[in-house]
Amino acid sequence: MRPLQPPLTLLSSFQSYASYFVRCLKASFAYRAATITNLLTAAVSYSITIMIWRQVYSQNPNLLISSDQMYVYLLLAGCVNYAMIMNIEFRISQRIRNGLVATDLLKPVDFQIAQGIQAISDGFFNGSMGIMVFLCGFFVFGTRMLPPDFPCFCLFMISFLLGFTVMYGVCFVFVQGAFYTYSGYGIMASRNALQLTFSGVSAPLAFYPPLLKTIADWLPFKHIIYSPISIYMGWAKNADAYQLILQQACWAVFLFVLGKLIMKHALKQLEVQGG
Amino acid sequence: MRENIKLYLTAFNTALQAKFEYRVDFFVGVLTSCMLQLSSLFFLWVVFHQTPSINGWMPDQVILLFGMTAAALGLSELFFNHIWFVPSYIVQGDLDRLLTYPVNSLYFLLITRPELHAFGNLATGTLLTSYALIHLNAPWYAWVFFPLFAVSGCLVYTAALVIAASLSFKFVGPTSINLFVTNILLNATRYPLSIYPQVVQIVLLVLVPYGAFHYLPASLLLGKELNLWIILVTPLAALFFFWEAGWFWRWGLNQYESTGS
Amino acid sequence: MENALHVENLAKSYKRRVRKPGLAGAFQSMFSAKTEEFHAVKGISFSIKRGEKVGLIGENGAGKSTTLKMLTGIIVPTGGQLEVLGLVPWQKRRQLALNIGVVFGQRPQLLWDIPVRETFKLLKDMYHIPNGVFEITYPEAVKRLDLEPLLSTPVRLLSLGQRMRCDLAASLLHAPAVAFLDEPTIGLDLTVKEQVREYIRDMQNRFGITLLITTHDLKDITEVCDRLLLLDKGKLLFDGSLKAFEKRFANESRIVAELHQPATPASLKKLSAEIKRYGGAITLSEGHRLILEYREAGAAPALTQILLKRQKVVDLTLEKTDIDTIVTRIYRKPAGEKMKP
Repeated sequence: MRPLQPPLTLLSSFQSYASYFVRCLKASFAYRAATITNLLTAAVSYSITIMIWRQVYSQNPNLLISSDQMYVYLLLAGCVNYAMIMNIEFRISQRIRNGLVATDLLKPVDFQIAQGIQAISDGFFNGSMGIMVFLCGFFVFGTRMLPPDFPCFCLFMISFLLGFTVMYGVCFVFVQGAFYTYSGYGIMASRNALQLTFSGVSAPLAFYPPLLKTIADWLPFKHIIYSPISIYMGWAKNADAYQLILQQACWAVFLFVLGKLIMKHALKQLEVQGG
Repeated sequence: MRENIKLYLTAFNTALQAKFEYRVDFFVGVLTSCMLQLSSLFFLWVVFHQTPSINGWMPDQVILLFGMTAAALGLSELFFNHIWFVPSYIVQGDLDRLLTYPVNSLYFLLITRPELHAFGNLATGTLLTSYALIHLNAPWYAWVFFPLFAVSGCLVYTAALVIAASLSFKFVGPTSINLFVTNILLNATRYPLSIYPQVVQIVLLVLVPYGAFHYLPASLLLGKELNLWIILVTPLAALFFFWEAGWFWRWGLNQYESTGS
Repeated sequence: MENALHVENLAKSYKRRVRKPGLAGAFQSMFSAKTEEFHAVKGISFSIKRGEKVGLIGENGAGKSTTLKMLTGIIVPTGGQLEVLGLVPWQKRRQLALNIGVVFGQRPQLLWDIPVRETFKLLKDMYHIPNGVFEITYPEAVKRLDLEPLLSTPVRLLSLGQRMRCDLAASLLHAPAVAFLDEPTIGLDLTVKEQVREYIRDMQNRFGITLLITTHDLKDITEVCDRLLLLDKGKLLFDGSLKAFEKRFANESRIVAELHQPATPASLKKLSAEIKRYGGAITLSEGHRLILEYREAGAAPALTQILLKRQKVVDLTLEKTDIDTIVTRIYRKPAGEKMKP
């Protein structure tokens, strides 16, 4: 008889997650998502938004943000938005509905962390798509696509990574709804709806009417797109930039804890289908 | 013919009952559709915060367009939503069962999976359209015609989806053509088509005449400038489009059956 | 530790919504709040020692899978206490997971898009399987379950049978202290079933794994287990060895005969009188079919002889009182009768 395995130490847990990460990467290579049509859809959405703003600028040439900067902003927003696509949302809600989530729960790893690792591995792929779009934009807009200076870019990278963590946190909290309602469409689409409005992907928050802006400031969504890009474009400098980054970090921690607590409760009332 | 209709009604009834079983799904779905419509309205709010009009279209007028697209979408989702599942059915081989039923495959398929969150879109669409028509002091006949236009828009939207689904008979794989098609249709036609280049306008009015049933009526009602020939060509294009969709479906089925997959 | 599992008064109930028929009823029930309670498991108690091999049977809906899910920590019970390897499953899920192996009938734990071999590598790291153990379990599994040709194939391309074999190997790779196998042979063809049973037996022998097997195929139990738990509608009807089960529930043995022509009442009377001496009785005479039942073991040859003498028999079957037939008969009995000793 084999002696019982004692609970894992921090180091050995880390080894588990590292191994899991490698397998996720391999699986991401194999996971054939509908990349072409996704890209085309994003391109179309971007074009529509551009045409609307073009109309606006043709009648009102003197707005707070110049039309040039606007187009660059929208393209960057599109890139970042693409890099932040969380395939895990769909996967987790599907696994809850067909009961496979049971096998996930039987593994000796923390579900939240494991899915986070999966998200990072997906992020590599979605991110490279985003970079390619950025390069295309570079052909069109030239040096206007670049940040004003190098420190700016560094701060942007930090903000981007934190934004990714916030995005994961938001998605994880929303996907808990699937444990209670077994619905797939509703959960993802409602998060998407909120994100469309409050993340600044269709228009910089600076353009928002005061009421909407206030609400957006108090929600985490702006930290997924608007905060990193304001830092990139040099709109938020120094103190402002540091404050944004601090806010992102706070949201990331808060959402992580919130997700954990909700999941604990969700599992208590879980009814796994079948048998 | 009458028997068929009765059959469709019964099938729809049964499917609808099944859907009501998932009441949380229903409420969540309705809430979500409303949120999605709201997010577009919020975007309008942001845009109109920066400008008084878009290409001569005032906010209430654009809301009319919004309402009509939402209503058409809602109708299609409620009655004809099943078409969304065709690509996955093909991949998993579940379409075979449908083909053994003694019914017209397309119509039966379309009607047997109503999507309840459509009520959200339908309600929002009706609300927005009514609000717009009232604020624009629309004449009485607008209240008769616009619901008809919504139904027609629904049919065009569904036809486009049928064509997209038929293509997936041939191009089985990880492409979600239907998502792509609907995204374009939904996003683009919410806004006045005049903001797009001529080519795009022709596509959205003649090739896939989704725009025909809200942009045209709204333009006519509001006295906007329009090419006369578009008013003539578009309804014919729409009829042709329905016929095309049926043809595509039959073509797709042939592909499916001949490869025996 | 003596006990691998200890369960006391374990219960699980769900709230189900009351539904009225018809479309109007369906619509109405969406807005009403009337619920009724459904008791999946109604207070069961048992203990299993380390190294025991236990089979859990019951009809669909009896509460087998629910019990299993509570034991593995996926579902939280609504009543009672349970402990697996000294831990409360739903509280110490991850820690328990290190020492248990689980197979869920048709839901494999394998990673979907990548070759099978990758899953095994991952499991080695995730469960921190010592090299000494892995070097035994991995080759054993590959050899016994014919996994060699499958190792490089992505899981989504495998057939059901192939997936189940890989899943089973994956669950026992770390030679866990307890293995929960929910329908491990479902959907497999007969030769593969044998292979699987042999593999389970051998692993159990070698590593002293405590087994809890849920199944509809009773051969899984007769070939692997030595103890049987019978669940019916959430209650534990029987807990004991296989032999004790046969003894308690074996009632009558039967001789089923197909006659050349329907028996006349007169001939039946005569037959009845003769077989009474051996404790036999006619329980069914319908058309060409005739069934005799008897209690005494060893009465079969005599009864058969009499039957063949008295009637023109075309075909004859002797029904054994093996577990299969016993369980079938138990399932067929109405609810109240099943509890009788």
